[in-house]
Amino acid sequence: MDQFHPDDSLFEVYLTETSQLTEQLEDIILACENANRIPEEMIHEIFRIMHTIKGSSSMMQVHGIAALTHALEDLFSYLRENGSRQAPGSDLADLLLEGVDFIKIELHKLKNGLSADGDASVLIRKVEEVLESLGQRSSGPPPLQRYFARLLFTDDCDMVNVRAYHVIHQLGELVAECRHIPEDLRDDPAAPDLIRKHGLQLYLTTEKSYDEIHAALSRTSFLKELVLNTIHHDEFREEGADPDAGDIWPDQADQTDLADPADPVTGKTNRRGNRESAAAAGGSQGKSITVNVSKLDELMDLVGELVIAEAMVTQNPEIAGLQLEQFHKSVNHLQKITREIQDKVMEIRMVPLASVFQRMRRVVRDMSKKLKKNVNLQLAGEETEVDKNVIEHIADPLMHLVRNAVDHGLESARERVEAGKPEVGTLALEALNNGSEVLIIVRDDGRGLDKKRILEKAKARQLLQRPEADLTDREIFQLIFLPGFSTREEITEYSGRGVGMDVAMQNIASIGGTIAVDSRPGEGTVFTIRIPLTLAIIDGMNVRVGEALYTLPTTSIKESFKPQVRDLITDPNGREMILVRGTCYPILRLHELFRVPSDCTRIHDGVLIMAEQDGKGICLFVDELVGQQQVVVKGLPPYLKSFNRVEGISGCTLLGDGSISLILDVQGLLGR
Amino acid sequence: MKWFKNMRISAKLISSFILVSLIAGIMGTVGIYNMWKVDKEYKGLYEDYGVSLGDLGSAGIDFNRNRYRLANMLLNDDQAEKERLANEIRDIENQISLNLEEFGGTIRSEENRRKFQELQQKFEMFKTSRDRVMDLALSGRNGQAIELLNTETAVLASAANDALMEMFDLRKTNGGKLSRQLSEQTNSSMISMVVTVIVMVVVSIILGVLVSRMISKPVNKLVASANQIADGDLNVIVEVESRDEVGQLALAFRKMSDNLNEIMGNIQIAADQVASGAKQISDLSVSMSQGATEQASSVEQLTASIEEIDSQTRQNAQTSNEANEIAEAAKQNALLGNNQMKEMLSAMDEINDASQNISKIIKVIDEIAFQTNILALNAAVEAARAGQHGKGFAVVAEEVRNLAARSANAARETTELIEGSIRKVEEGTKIAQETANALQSIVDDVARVSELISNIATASNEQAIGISQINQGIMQVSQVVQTTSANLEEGATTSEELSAQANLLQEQVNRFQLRKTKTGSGSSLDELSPELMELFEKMSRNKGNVPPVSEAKAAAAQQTKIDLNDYEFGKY
Amino acid sequence: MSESFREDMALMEEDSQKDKYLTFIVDEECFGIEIRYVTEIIGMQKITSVPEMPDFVRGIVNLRGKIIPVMDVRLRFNKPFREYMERTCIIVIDVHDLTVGLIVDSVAEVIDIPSSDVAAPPDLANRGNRFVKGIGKVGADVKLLLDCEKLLTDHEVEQLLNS
Repeated sequence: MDQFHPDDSLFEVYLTETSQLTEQLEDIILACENANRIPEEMIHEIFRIMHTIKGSSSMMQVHGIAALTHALEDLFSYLRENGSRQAPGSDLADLLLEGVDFIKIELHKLKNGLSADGDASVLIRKVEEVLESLGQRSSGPPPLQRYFARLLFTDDCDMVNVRAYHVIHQLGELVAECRHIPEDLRDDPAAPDLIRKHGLQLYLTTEKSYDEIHAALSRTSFLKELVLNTIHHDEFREEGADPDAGDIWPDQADQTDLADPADPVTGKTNRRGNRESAAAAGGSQGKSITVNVSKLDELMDLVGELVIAEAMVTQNPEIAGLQLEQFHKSVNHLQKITREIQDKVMEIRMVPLASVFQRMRRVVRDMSKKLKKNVNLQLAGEETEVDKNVIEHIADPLMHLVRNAVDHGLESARERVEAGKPEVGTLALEALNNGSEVLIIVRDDGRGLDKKRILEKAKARQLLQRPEADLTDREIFQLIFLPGFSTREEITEYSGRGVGMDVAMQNIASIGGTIAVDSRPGEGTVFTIRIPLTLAIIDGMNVRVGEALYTLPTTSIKESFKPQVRDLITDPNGREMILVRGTCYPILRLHELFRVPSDCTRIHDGVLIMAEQDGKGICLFVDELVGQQQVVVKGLPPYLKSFNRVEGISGCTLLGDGSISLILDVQGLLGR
Repeated sequence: MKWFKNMRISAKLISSFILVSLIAGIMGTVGIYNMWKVDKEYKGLYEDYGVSLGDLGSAGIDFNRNRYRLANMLLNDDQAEKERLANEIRDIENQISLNLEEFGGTIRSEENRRKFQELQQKFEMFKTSRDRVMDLALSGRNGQAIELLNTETAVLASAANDALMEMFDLRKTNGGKLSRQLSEQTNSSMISMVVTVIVMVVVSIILGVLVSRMISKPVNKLVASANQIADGDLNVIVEVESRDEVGQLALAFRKMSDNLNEIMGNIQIAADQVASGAKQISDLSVSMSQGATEQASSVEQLTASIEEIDSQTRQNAQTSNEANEIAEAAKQNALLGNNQMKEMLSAMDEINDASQNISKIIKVIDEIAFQTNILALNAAVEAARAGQHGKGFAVVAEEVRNLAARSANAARETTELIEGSIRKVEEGTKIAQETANALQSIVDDVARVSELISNIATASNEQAIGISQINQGIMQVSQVVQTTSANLEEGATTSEELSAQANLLQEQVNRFQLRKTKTGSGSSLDELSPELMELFEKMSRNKGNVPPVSEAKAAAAQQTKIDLNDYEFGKY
Repeated sequence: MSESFREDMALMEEDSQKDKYLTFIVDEECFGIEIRYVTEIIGMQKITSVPEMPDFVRGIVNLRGKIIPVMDVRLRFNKPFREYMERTCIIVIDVHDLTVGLIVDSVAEVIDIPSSDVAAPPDLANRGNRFVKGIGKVGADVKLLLDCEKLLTDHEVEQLLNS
């Protein structure tokens, strides 16, 4: 087997693509298993995936995978041909999953520069057996395939009908049969318009493979978009009826519509949710390309700088106050576009946690099967998006937590019933975005953590730094994150080595997050992972204290007002508080806290900003409110972090005139 | 009768008339009284006798009527008739009583009264009897009645009747007596009255004559005096005899004649004086005229000198004007110089500014040099990093550094040069400033000189004006002198006339004969007003010299006024 | 290329950079740091101060969108503070992915100092000399060569010493 340098871009693409497809496949299989049947589209999808993997693996000379997928392709081709009425059952699913695992392992090897020398022959044989049992030997010439193609031409293509005719002509050699809509390309005056609007629709029957047809069609000049779908025999007849019928088109959600004016957050999510869930459900023919994450990083940086540069232009003191109407119009346009770019790039980078969560399904399924525990996995907030970077780092810890939960946390069915709990244990994965960070919560309703045991173990391993009596429950629970900690007596396949939790914590810490655990004996355990949105563009409120500027995320600001001296209260400890509509809020004087020299020290000279986090409120005393703007969040340089972690400052940002404003973190400020 | 004489005429007349009227009045009164008396007497007569007789008569008649009725009664058998008659009798009886009473009222003498009473008694007796008769008659006893009647009553009746007739006669006699008395009285009155009248008339006439004579005599006297005076004889003496109007008139006459005397006397004197004065004036004015002529000639000389001065002054003014112009021109030049100096200063300032600008640019260049240096260092760093590959780049970086150093040097040197230049410019500026100051002071001095000259010019001009005014004044004086001369001529003429007039006056006055008693004020020549005398003397002394204008003027003014108001005139 | 080859190359590069130092002046004294740590040299910028930092950590600056913490070398070496002028430079160094800007009075040049000319530093106990890796002789001048890693990371010890 030839070796491929991991840096080889083509290879990189192959790896990424194949991993993706494999994941997709896994999701589909799991979904189908849950549904206890494989719907027709799924078969097609699986087939397609196999086909694609096969093709690319052959190209990459990864023979192991190629052979396996070939076999699976045959199987599914058969299934496709002969209907899926025969419910394959969970055996098939197991088999498929095995295959998926094999592919994964091989890919993993390749990623790490090792050779993919796995032997799939065992699996292949199994597949062939299944196929035999289904009564068909896959051999012989590849059957006739039927494809549906839609070609959209670019706007500057004149004579689309001629172009279309050319395409069809060229295909003529490749395809056995070709039906096209619009039918009359030469004489029909409406044909060009139809083509322009709906594209050239082709119904092809050929023995050529998908790729071949795809390649052939891709060579068309002035091609804006190509959609090529393999169609089932039955569906073929149905098509050709109404070209305008919406359901003929493959998932329209894939037509990424750049001019979509929908709300970026929800629209984005919906669309991508659609796409991702469609992918998960196994029916998307969407076009996607694999992009190197580092490129995205650079793009993000550039976009961030673009935002700053744009701010620098629009807030340039030289034009401040000038009435330049046309200029402002153009600037507004620029800002709009910049914002859109921002959003798009954010979109690109942000990936919903769904993929991670979905993977958990697999884990839970395998484990519950193995451990004979019935686990109900509830996912919530899968559409919550996090940076790609984060996804990669969160997957392992999450997996570890899930494993722990299923393994240790949830009791056996019997125990549960005895304890009065429902037989099926519940494991909830929840993700939510609270403005400055993403929370991922893993909750189980199992037996909870045993404080005593933890303390014992900690003492035994001399991991205690402070006297036992001083520790709060939380702190006790936090001990489990220390390296070398495990209360498991024996080491199972999944856990017990004591290297899981601390690794998880490190992983989370590496992306700047924290993990906390809370538990109630007999009721369950909750792990809360907080990941700060370090790489984000947030809406911030700029405030000034003395000469220094600070930015507060607007989502944490409840209100701001000019305080009256009479509302000021001083408690016996000397802490200042203020009464607002009957509730008392502590006042935090930023100029004292950060030791910034400021002329404004009297309460009624400045402004109080009421900020809230998790129900707790605090009033920050600043000199004045400067303004509101979108800011690019940049983390504080790690060098500074090496000295001291400043509670309350979560990062910094560059303002329009190039000056730096420190971003305040309400959570941290509350702690002071 | 002195007092009467002194009464006013009107009073006299009035009193006389009153007297006369009084007399008339008395007479009248007397007459009236007499008449009244007579009237009264007659009335009394009438009443006492006339009327009373009447009454008596009536009573008698009635008495008889009663007798008749009585008789009727007796003759009548008719009771009613009797009654009626009885009533009638009673009525008539009343009547009789009344009349008798009336009569009784008129009785004046005792005797008559006695007689009357008798009468009444008789009547009473009759009445009584009658009544009885009546009663009888009424009661039907006519017989008795008749009897009675024929006896008693008849007797009584006759007695009464006789008494009555007696009375009657008595009265008549008395009446006649009385009437004759009265007539006698009347006659006497008439005589007295006539006498009185005659007396009164005589008195009146006498009074009238007296009074008129009292008035007319003095008046005639006065008339005579007046005629005297009119004829020119002022030496008349008027007598005053009374204090009445005429007397007053006489007094006034006297005063008038006295005054006239006096006045005439004075006039005479004055006329004499005037005559002499006029002569003197005449002489004087002649001499003054001479003097005036001499004055005029002196004035001419003065005028000439003044004109010379005037022309000199004008020349002065002109010269100073010229000087002024020259000074002005000098000032302008100095200002021009100053302006140019200022321009030079501003040019130097600009040089300074330019230098500053250059300095700034030099700073910029310096900055650039510094930045270039940094860049070069950065480049060197990069070159060092690039290792082998960067060697060439390092050289380039080094060169760039050198270049930057050279730039910096050049910038530094230029800065020094600039600073030197700035310093020089500053010096130059200082010098220029001083020059400017000097020029400025020149300008100031020139301005002052110019001002002074201008003052001189103005003063000269004013002088010229003043002199021309003087000239004018002198002209006026000469005019005045001429006028004076002319006036003097006139004066002389006038005094001649005056003299003539004075003579005329004297002639007139001489028509009157004056009382020789009183003398007025001194009528000698020395009594002319002393001021005038003084002036004459002075003038005669200063004939030769040119008198100052004012004095001449004053003299002239005084000369036209001849003070005739002798303050002693009219004092007594 | 293989990983090892790549590493070799990197090493070679590092070697070629090894004897090159960037010299700068702080308080009349001339210091030098290895070029391989130097990213760039920039002029003085507006420094945004960050609270609760040691006094020699002046704050952060914005370098073309990148946030870089800056340290005042004078204060780090316990020398008296001097007001920043326009000639004051910041040398941006990168040590093990820690980017820091060093505020110096002025930058001199890039110079080659072969290791033969580098002598060992004197007494280690002296506070300021903790950071000096060696003494470089260049002609008649002496330049104190600094150890960047210690410069950036040695503060815990310092804190201990201080406490």
